[in-house]
Amino acid sequence: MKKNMRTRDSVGYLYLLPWIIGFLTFQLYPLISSLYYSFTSFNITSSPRFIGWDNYVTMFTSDPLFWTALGNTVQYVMMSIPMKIGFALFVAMLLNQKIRGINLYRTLYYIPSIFGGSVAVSILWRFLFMSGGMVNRLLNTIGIASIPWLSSPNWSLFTLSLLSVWQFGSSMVLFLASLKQVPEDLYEAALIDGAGRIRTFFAITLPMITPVLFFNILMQIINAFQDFTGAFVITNGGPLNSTYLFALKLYDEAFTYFKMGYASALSWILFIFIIGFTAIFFRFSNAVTFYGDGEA
Amino acid sequence: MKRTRIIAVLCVVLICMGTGSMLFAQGKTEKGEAQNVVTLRFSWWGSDPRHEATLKAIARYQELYPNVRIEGEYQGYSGYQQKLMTQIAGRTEPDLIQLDHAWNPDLSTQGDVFLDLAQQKNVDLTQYPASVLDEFCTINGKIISIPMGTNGFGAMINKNFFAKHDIPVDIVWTWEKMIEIGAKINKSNREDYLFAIESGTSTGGLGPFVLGAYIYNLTGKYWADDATYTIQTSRADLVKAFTILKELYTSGTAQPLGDASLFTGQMEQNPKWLNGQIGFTVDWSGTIGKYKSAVGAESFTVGMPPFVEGGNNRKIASKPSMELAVSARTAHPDIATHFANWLFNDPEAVAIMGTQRSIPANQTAFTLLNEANAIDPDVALMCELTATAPASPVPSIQNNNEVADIIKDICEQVVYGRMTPSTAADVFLSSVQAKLTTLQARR
Repeated sequence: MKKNMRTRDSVGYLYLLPWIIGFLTFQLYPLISSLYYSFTSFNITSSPRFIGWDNYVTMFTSDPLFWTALGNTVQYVMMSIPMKIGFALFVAMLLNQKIRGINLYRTLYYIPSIFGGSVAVSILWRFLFMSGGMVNRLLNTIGIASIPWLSSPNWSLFTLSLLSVWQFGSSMVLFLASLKQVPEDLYEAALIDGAGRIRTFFAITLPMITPVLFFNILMQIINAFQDFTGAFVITNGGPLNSTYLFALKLYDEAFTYFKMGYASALSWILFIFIIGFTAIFFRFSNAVTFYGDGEA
Repeated sequence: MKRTRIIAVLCVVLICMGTGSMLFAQGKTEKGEAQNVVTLRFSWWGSDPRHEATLKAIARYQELYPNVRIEGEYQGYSGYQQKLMTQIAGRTEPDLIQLDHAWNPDLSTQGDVFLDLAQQKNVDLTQYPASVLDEFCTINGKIISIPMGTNGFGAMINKNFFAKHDIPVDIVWTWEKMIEIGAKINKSNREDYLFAIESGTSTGGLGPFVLGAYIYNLTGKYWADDATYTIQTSRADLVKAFTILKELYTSGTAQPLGDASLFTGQMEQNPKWLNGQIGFTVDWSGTIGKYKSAVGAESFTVGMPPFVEGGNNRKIASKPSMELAVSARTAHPDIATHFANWLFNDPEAVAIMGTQRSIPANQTAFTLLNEANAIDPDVALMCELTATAPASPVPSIQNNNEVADIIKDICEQVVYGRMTPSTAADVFLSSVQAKLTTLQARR
């Protein structure tokens, strides 16, 4: 029996071996290397020199742009996540209907997510939202003055967060799947009790989809903290560092200033920050997530 | 179970064999090719006109020498240095590399990355001015590159705008005159701006092209001293420079910085430039091709850059447009240097490349183009104007990315009204000097 189990295990490990080799080589080794580099002064042109905690001390005490980047990123996350999740849920509910052509509508609404936040889409965003761009021209036609979407430090971060909302497709698909899992008899019972649509949504739909809601929020938070393309391509952190996101700061330190050690330290701080944020979120979500098997 | 284990082992072995044979075949292909076809990688930055000319030249070389294949790796300027430095650190740099001399301080710490071209029999260095080779192409006592072009500096002018506002294209601007005339233009039409410039990078934008140029013309000295890593300009002069900078925007002379900065390094794509709503910007002669092709040759001309009213001098920035180096790790130094030499000495190559990298620094190439009347007249004019009063080389420390970003931030604060010129001068003196001191300690 034991021999059979050992044999079964060894077969399993053999199947896993390619992935394990890849994980060790391309994920674990770079992770440990970056932790080591974070304690060194390493400018890519010479060997790393151990300096202890200096990078971390510099970060928190004498790099004002560190706090700027962190603050911008937290603001960006706080703006983009509710908009993205809210919009994805709204669209999922629209697409959760039995009408003719619904499959075509689902495909069309998913297409923006295929393009994602690529460089091409970022350039398109720039042309849409620049001073004489299409968005301002539409506003002008209905009598609203042009808004400095990308040229004002007060508006630029919000405009960038709209770019992330455009990529709502993956969240929308998950919401759609979970909406279909909500038992119809609950809606029937609510209807019999005289509940309106809004009451039904908050009393039945939302609680029943909280596991997927929690998952979507969590994944989007992790992604949003690492957003880079829009800020790099469209505004390059400006104007006045208002869109200087943490990922952009990391890029500058590593590839513009060639301070790999400091950049590695920044990446670990980002990692710890995301872990902390998600831990708090997990703690909070336990109280509000409903699982159908009765567990909360 | 025994059968399952055999199948599992076979699968793993097959995967390993497949991966190994792919890697082996790659190596074998390269080795096999080396016997018949040599492959070189050539990287450069530029815009479409330059890419097309260079690819055409490569194709011609490959026709002449069928055993050589050259793979072009080209992109815009933005991110090029970052990619190159990473490649050099990872020992994966291309065989032939276009460089900017501003990167020499960073490259000098890399050790012997490039071939010493003075030791290469295929490269004729007598075709290049010795002073240029010495000042811009030498690292650690070795000539590591050849200058590809001579860059002048000046105004990229949209003739339609100047005609619309009754301004002669050969006007010699001062910053003060720009503000006076630019304010009137913008008052008469809020959509028109005499001037546009982006926040910039270490080698372009507000820092080098406005602040740095203003101080040099005003005082006769650059604001930084390479030897001592100190600021050698006075607070009073800095206040003057920041005041002019602020007035460029408050008067409506310059396109709002936020709008212009969306086209950093790509001002030719700025819709206002394309639509004739911007009068001029300033840039190097090597970039004339992209501005001209954007608005059309009939709508384009060049002029002198702005000077300072009553300033110390009216010298104009000058430098090699870019340089070509050969990696010391190339497997085919003879072929790489042969191609590099061919690019600037062969009549066909010179005709194809034209002035896409400004006027060739190579004497043979220049003579060939000149005799064929093939030098772009605007490139020639800008280089001629520059040659009347060329400035000395910019201290390399002014091109340092960290220093440049601090200056860019200060300039933006002034333009957006978050800092007065007076405060900006104080912040400049303290924060830039602190960074210079740090950089000096790191040397």
